[in-house]
This record gives sequence, structure tokens and C-alpha cells, in this order.
Amino acid sequence: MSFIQGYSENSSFESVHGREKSAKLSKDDALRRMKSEKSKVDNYKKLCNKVLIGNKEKIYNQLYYNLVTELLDWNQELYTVWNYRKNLIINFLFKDLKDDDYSKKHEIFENELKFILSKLKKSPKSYWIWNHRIWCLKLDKLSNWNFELALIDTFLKVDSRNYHVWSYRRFIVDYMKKDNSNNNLIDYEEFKFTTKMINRDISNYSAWHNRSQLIVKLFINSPIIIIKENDEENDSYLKIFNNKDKLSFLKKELNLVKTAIYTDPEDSSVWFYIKWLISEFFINDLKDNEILDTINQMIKDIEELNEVEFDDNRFDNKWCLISIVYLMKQIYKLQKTIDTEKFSNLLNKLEKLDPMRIERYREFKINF
Amino acid sequence: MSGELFVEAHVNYVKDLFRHPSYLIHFMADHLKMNALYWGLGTLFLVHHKEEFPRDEVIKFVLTCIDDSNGGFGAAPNHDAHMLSTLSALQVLKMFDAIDILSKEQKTKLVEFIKSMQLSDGSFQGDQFGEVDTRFVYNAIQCLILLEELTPEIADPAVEWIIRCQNFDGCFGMVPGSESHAAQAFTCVGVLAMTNSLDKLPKKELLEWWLSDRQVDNGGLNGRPEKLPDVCYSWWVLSTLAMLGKLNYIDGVKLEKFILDCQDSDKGGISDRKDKEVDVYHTYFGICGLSLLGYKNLERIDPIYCLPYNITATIKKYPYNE
Repeated sequence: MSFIQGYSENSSFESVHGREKSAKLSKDDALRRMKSEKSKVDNYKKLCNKVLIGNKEKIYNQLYYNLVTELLDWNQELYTVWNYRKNLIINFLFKDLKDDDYSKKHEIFENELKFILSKLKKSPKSYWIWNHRIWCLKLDKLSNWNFELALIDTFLKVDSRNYHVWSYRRFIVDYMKKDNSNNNLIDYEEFKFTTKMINRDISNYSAWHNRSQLIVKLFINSPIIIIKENDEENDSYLKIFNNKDKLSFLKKELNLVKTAIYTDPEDSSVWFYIKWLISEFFINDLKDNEILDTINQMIKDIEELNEVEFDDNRFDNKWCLISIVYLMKQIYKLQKTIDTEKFSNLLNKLEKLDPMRIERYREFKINF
Repeated sequence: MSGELFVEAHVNYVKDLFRHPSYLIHFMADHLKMNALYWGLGTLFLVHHKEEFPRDEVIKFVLTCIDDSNGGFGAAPNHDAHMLSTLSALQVLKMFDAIDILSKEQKTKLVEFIKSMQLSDGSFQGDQFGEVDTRFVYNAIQCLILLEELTPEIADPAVEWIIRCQNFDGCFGMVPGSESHAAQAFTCVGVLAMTNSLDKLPKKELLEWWLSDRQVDNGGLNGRPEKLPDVCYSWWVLSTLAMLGKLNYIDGVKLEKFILDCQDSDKGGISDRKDKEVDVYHTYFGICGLSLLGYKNLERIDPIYCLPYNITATIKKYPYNE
């Protein structure tokens, strides 16, 4: 249905991200394009209507299963058609199968997963398509989780921040846990995966995020069953989690973080993570002097980095100053005293250095 | 002040989308039609051109999108009902003051559909196929408010679940455990605001700082750390800051320039970034952002409901005092 008279010159309702601008067509070119697309449009509309009616009328047979495939090959964003496909799988493909014939069902799902993968390669950020894959895996009792993890690796190699892929990974991990008695070990493997991703690129905020989630789980649910790690680095993390030793963890983690901020001091990812490391989850379990030593050491390290930055650029690093302010505030919470002159100097510098957020610093100073 | 808003070009752009489609690509986007109608109509309302859409025909169209099997709204006629299109449909009806056009039976069935999407943990799925997302909680809560049918039995567990979606950085993800995203900040803080529960928001200052850190050097806002800016975050980030009373935490002048620079003066419409292709989604959310920034001659938008204030003034706010 159209509300406004005449033919549209614009292309679509579709939301486009980063697509190159197309020139406005002249009247003649527009007419030519319409003519050249006419038979395609007719075929598309015919197929689309047929499938939508089949869905409404709950027709579940080979013919409509094929039509659905054909339509999705044409337009894979039609959520209603993916829904119809789910019903076709259940009501047509599974029709003659016993409820517990898991291996036959698995065969059907294997084919479906191949079909989905070909679509995901074309639109790796489509909610509907990832959701369809999850729907299949939930019903398949013989899912191959390792295959899915390997698939995620390939997607992350193309785009290491793809929000859908990271969500999908967490879904897979949750399902793996249902099949496995040692959930802590799975979380620990995931923790190691975040280390790998961060070592590959310290700017991967998605990995830092996942790491924060896993650390909380590992501390709460530890001990993890003892295994012999070959890798000394990972082995020491294992001991720390098993002993719920938050102080040693912080020391180790702050070393990793220090490497990261020295690698790229302008990258915001790790600075958010630092804020979290010096927050309640860790410091509530430490003795006052342990916290103070840790924070003061951290401040010293950041100040040194800022000096290097200042020598290179002739101005302070914004993230260094923000983090020192935050760390000083944590000290104040503990000691009820602070070097106020240093504190307000830092905020004054930030107002000049980061004028877009000047009001934020002013409020912070007033509220303090 | 930087450039001007090309109101006339944008009005023409939006109108053109709802002419008879010409090209295949237009026919192929029906699954977004109801959302696009809300974005398009919203744009016209904000620039004071609502009369450009024929009210009766729009309402008639919305009613043809009801999915008879469950009472929800699909994205287009014969498309399945979904929470996303259901909220857009109700927002369109609300803008035309036409919620009461739904018959009593239609309303009852619709309310039942929305409520049936809530899961035992308080979250909502988008349809019966199980996808869960804080977006759908926002959809459901606003739908029930527009229908004046929200109850504590629905709202309280939803709020509890939303708070579980908060992360180490103060912002929110799609489900508990998933990464922070500025658009999810809008849906989550929006649910808290609609249910009058903003006082339950933990780590408020952390969230406010994280949101204001979304502004990058060219004035635009991004949705996650170390990502490119995009006009749509002029809405998702800014509306959330507005709900928290911290609009002053970013540089409005620079943001305004960033949005205005993304306009297409020739075709009309606004793109995600300068010199890219425009679409109705970025057009609407760009103008919404300008409205929050107080740009001249625009209808003021309500950051909680993403509808003009003169519309939300007539919403019966939750909790109901009866």
C-alpha cells in the first residue's frame, strides 16, 4: 500500500550503514531502471505472496519448503519466512520421524546449518539469521559445539568486534555447559580465549568485556578442577582462581594492563577495564594496606606513562589523567584524605584537555 | 551555528518512500515497513509536517498488519507479528491519537500477545521463536503503557531482569552477560524510566561517564568504545543522557554540526556518516538528536518514549494512581 501518489524515486526502507552514496537518477534513467527490473519485480512479488499465504494457511510440504528456500536465496532478511521455515522443519521434515530419532534430526539440522552459514557469510550482522541458527542448535540433541567454536573463530578473524558473533559465542558456551559436568573448566578455557584475543589486539573491548564476566564467575565458582597446564603463564592464573587470591590476581592483571596502555595509550578499551579492576569486586576482599599499595603503584605507573606521553606530544594523555583522578577517589574512600591540590589540578587540566566533556569534570569537582 | 536543517528536502524524501515502489530493492524491504512508517511519520511530526501523510489511509494500513493468529502487528500485511513492529504500529496510532480505533477484542488479544512474550525470568522474547533482547522488554513495556495495561506483575520482574544486563562499565547489553552497547543503554534506562524505577539504577555515575565518552573528536557519537561515530547514536546516547539529566556531558554544538553534515541536500535524508547513503532510520534519529539538542523550530522529543512531547503528554504514566 502506498499513501502518496506517484512512483517512488528512493530505493528502500532498508537501513544502510557505511554504504557509498548513489546519485539521484534522472527521469529517463529511473524509467529505464524500472523497466529493466519489471519482470524481476513481478517474479519476486509472486513468489513472496505465495510463500506468505502458505505461511498463513500453515501449508507444510515439499513444494513450499522449496519455495521458502528459493525466496530466502533471493531475500534473506524476511523474518517471517525464516519463521515459516522453522515450522516447515518441525511439521514437514520431521513429520515421519520418531520424537527420539535424534540422529535423523541431526542430519536435517546439519543441512540447515550449511544453508544458514551461506546466508551469514553475506550478512554477518543479521539478527534473524543468527537467531535461526540458535533455534536449530537448541533442538538438535547432537550438536557439534567444537564446529561452532571454530566457525566463530573464522567470523572473529574477519571482524573481531562483531556484536552478534560474541553473543553467539556466549550462547554456545552456555549450551556446552549443559552437556558438561565441569563448567568451571569451560569458563577457564573461555578466559584463556580472551587472553588470546587481547594479545592479538589490545583494543578489543569485546574481549575485555568477556574477560570481566568470566573473572567474576571463576572467582565465585572456584576451585576449578586441577589440571596440569603446560603453559606456565596460564597455570599461575589457575592457582590464583583456585585459591581465590584476588591480590595476586590484581598484581598479575595490572601487569597485563600496563603492557596494554604502553602499547596504545590512546585506546580507551583498557582504561575502562582498569577502572573496574580497582572497584568493589576486588578491593572489598583486600586489606586496606594491600589496596593502598596496589593503587599507589598503579598511579605511579600511569604517571610515568603520562610523562613519556607529554615528552612526545607536549600535552598530557587524557586517559592517564582520568584514571589517576579515579584512583585518587578510591584512595579517598579508604583514607578520607587526599592531596586536594593535586586532585583539582588534574581536573583543571582535564577541562582544558577535553573541552567536549568540560561540564562533566566541573560537576565531578563540585560533587566531590 | 553551523549549517541548516534541510526541512523541505527531508519531507520530500520521507514522502517519496511511501509512494508506489519502483525498484526491486524497495519491494524487498517490506519486513521493515512498519518501523519505517514510524521513523517517517516521526520525522514529519518533528518538523511540523504531519499533514503530509493521509491519516485515515495510514491507520487503515496499520490495521491490515494485524496478525490474526495472535493479535500482534507484523511489519507489513501477511508478515508475522513481532514485538518490534507491534511497538511501531502502536506508536503510529498514538501519534494520530487513534489507539481507540482498535476494537475491544483486538485490544484484548493484543495485550494477551504482548504479555505472553514475557518469560519466567522477567525478560521478553520478540516472538514465539525465542530470541530474547532488552529491546523487546522496552517494546513490551511501552506497548502496555500506550494501551494503559501495564501492571506490577509484568513491570517488576522486567525491571529486575534489566538490571541484570548491566556490565562492569556501567552500561547495558542485549542479555545478561553481553557486551555494553549504547542502543541497549537506551532500551534499559528507558524501561527504568517508563516504570518509574530510575532510582533503582546501579552505578549511575559510571554509566554517565561511559556514555559521554561516546563522543569522538569530530563531534559524532559511537555506540561502543573504539568504533566509528554514527548519526543514530545521536539518539541512543543522547536520549539516555537526557533521561539521566546529563545532556551537558557532551558537546552539543559539535554534535549538531556532525548531524547536519550528514544530510543529503539534494535527495534529502540523513546518512550514518558524512557523504554516505541516506536512509529513513538515520534521518529520523538524526532529527531526534537535533530535537534533544534544542535545534530551532523542531517539535521537542520525549527521550523516554521517542515520541514528541505533545504526544506523550497524553500518555497515562505508570504507575497508575487510581
